Amino acid sequence: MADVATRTIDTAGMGADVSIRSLVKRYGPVTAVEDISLAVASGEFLSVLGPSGSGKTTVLMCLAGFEIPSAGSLHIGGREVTALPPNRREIGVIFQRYALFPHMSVRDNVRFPLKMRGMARRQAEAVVEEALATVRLSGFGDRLPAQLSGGQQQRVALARAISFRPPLLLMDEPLSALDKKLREEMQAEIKDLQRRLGLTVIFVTHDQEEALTMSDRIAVMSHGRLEQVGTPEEIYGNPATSFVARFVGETNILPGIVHRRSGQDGTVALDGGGEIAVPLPAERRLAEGSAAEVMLRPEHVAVMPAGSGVNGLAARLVGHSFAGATVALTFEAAGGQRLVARRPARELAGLAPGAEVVLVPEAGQARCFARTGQGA
Amino acid sequence: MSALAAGDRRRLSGPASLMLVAPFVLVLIAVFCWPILQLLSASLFDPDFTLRHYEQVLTSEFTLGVFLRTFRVSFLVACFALVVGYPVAALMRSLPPMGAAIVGACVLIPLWTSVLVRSFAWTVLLQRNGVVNEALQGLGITSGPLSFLYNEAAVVIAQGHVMLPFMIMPIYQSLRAIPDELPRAALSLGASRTAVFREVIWPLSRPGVVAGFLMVFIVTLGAFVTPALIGGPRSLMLATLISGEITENLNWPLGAALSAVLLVMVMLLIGLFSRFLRFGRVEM
Ligand SMILES: Nc1ncnc2c1ncn2[C@@H]1O[C@H](COP(=O)(O)OP(=O)(O)OP(=O)(O)O)[C@@H](O)[C@H]1O
Ligand SMILES: [Mg+2]
Repeated sequence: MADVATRTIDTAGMGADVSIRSLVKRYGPVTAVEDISLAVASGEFLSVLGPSGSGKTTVLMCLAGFEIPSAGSLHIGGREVTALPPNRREIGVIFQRYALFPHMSVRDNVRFPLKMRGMARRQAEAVVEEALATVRLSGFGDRLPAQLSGGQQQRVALARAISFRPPLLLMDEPLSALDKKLREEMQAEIKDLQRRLGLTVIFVTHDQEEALTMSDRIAVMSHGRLEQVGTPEEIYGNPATSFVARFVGETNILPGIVHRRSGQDGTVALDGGGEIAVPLPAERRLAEGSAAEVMLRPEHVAVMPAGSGVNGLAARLVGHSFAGATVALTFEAAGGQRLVARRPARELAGLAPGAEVVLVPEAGQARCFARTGQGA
Repeated sequence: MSALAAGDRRRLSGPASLMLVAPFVLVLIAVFCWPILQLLSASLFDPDFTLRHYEQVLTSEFTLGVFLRTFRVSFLVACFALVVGYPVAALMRSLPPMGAAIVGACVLIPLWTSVLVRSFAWTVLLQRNGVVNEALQGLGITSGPLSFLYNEAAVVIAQGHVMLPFMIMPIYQSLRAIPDELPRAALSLGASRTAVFREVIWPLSRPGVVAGFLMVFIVTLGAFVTPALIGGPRSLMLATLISGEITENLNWPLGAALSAVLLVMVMLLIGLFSRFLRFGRVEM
């Protein structure tokens, strides 16, 4: 029993690094995960972001050991765990629907992993109290899960998952059942907990805002593949594919043809008329004359009065929606192309629906991707 | 969408709902309660009021022995059905929907064949020149026929088989109510497969186990066909005794008194355990 206690303290403050190598998971004819490789550093908070059915849960379930990979290998803390049964992986798992044992009190739920490890009752009581205090639920030990709110239940699940001090925490959309306000509170709490305990966290979500605010890095998935792995700033500011650009944050999509390319720069002639300057880094294999689409974040669209002499797209204001500090302005450009600009609310003054303007993309902020079958 | 389908919670008024159930209640009184009352009166008036027959039931060593055996056999039948039925229910729970439906059908279809047929099938299997004996001798395991029939063990097995659906279905229902995440959570928290069963699955399926156990136990207390066919005179059970008193000895008052005692015991059991039997929600 003493060794349980020492190990508990040993691992505290040491997140495990995780390495996923060429992971494939098939269910019969369905390929849920297709050749994913990903390294997560010790103590890192990594979000896995993707639309429904993209394979996020499958990756997590393979890591937790509930699903056996069809191919590839998994390593946690330098140890290969591909074939290790889930109860020997020492991973805390948080489920979307809490998964508290309904027939046990809060205290017994949190004590469960300690009991499974043969920790003496007296010693376990102290650890349980500490874990409950960590999630600010001291005094709730005698309640049954059914007597708690959703947020409280998820905090109990959190306490239960950290009470045995696993070096890795897997969370599958843990907050999606909570309302917005509570969700934001819990986001902060989870983040804080992760930092204090030095845990490695892999956090699955389909909420891009959640991923952007919480993560050290984000892995964006689509159709069982990784689209991009990077910091929130990279994912938002420099999306690697048009899928990432569309999925993360709002964006304007302008179809066109690569008109001129010279070095790292070029211009795209928009289908609706007008031209836009875009950076064309070498890895974007876009020859002159190929079909492309330009992505432009609403906050990178400046609005100028018509006839001010600047170069840009002529457009007409068709609507606006107010969102506190900013206002989203919807314009119609030539060829019926719709564009949204997000500006500080004061810039709305003097603009009425029907107003003629010139839209100017902020220099260097437009992104250009090859136009594939799926787009536009 | 009708108002009812939309989950409208309007209630009928008391008198209106009484009127709706009235025909059913009248039929029930006529064909069920009335004969039972007559039976009770037959046990108490012979022709004047007397407790003689009850005294006979409760003091005769023979009838008390039959009561004891009936309770013992019913308990063993329930145990047997539990031991066989729980794994079947667990199997159904672990299968994909189609497989569960097939196993479920195999469990339920015997319910539509008569108890008589099923009990006769057991006699065909177990009698001296029956299938089991022939097979044992054919394989050279035994030299002569063994007597499997006409003892308590045979009754326990045959009646246990007849009662299996009543055990499997409530257990299956309670297993199905356990979300997949719970055993997974337990595993991730370090529990072995045995510990997952002991700490999570078993406690959460206990309502189904208790319901199935009581159902099998109570129904077997009054079971007639299987004990009569399989049990023989040395393992006489209550229902067979009652039928003998009435049809062979023509001792209606004694048969009635035996029935009344059985009825009271069953009602006491149901009363004691009604919260486990969940009569309010019929789920099958
Ligand atoms: N047990 C299974 N059997 C067959 N197919 C499955 C199974 N589990 C998942 N899939 C399929 O694998 C794909 C990925 O599923 P997964 O649950 O990993 O997606 P997800 O990204 O978690 O989606 P969501 O956001 O909806 O939870 C889906 O097409 C799904 O239908
Ligand atoms: Mg999922």
